[in-house]
Amino acid sequence: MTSQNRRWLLIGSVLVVGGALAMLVFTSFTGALVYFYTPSEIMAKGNELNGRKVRIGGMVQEGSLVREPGTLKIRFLVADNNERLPVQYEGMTPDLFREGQGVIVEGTWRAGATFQAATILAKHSEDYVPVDMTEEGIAKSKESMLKSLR
Amino acid sequence: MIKWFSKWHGVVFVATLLTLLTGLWLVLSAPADYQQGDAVRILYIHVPAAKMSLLSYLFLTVASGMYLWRRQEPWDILAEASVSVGAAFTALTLASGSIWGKPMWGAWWAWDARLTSMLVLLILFMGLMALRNALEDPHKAARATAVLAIIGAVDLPIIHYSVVWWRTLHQPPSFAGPAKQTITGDLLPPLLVMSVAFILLGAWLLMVKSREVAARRAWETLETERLEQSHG
Repeated sequence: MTSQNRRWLLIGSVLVVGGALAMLVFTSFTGALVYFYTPSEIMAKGNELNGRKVRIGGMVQEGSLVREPGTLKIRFLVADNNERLPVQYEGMTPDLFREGQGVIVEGTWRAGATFQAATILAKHSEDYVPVDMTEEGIAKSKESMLKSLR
Repeated sequence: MIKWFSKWHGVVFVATLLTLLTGLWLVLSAPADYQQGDAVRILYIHVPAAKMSLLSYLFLTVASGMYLWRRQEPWDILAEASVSVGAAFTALTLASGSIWGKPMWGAWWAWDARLTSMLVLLILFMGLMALRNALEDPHKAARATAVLAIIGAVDLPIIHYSVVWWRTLHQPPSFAGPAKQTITGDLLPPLLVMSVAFILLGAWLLMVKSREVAARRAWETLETERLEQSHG
């Protein structure tokens, strides 16, 4: 390696590593690392978020999921302990997307209108239960999911 | 140290292979998860790989600190070797996580706190390799990488606590003290055996890589001496 190449490698590696570390530490303190908001937090902010891209995380409300026959369109409610937010989506859903499970919906917030999700991400809880599971295991899994959404 | 590695790496290799085969057999014979189905089997690779990524960096931090304190070359050889081993485990963690994330979450990647801080760890390992290559004087290179490695250790608590401190897409830890353990019954043994297998694999890789680093340095010293002789 020529000495000039070495110098560029030196500057480049220090800049990239320093930049990545500085960005991580900075975002740690500004709260930008929070990946999603809960329906309650979104409702509390209301108009302030108008036109902004948001991620909302909660549980898919049991009994709220409606699939429009012959299309990929779905409607459901995203719920936390206090609020329920209606969401519409068109497209494929992840394997773990189910009623009573955690979900994160991504889209542009329009106050007053039904939330149109551009992306749906299923959230998995930290519980791992074999297929021949017990009722107790399932109940515990739901409890942890709710806890992680607080 | 290198002599000891040369004597024992074969034994560690056999132990690694046997544990890994037992682990893989358990991984394939364990029941599926009631939510994830068979995809849960990817996590038996992903979780041990992630643990080893952090452990490699922890080892690197200790070796770097010891080198700066004592200025003994073996510590620097261990540091250089652990960077390569750590980079491999981190890359495996990110790749296996992506393969699990696509079908389960519906995304290969998400910029949440856990994934982002883990990517920073990979950048750190790559940056440390680049920095060592960028400095011609080996002593200077050893000192600079040791200092950068110790500064970079700030990422370790961020990775570990990311899923607790911030809301993430990544799930929180399944083991947190004796009171919390959320992996049930038959899903646990494959994880434990694979964890042991990965610790052995990490030790074996470190031994082999250290021998390679030491041999390369010895060769470079010989070459320099010969050049000096032919010029003198």
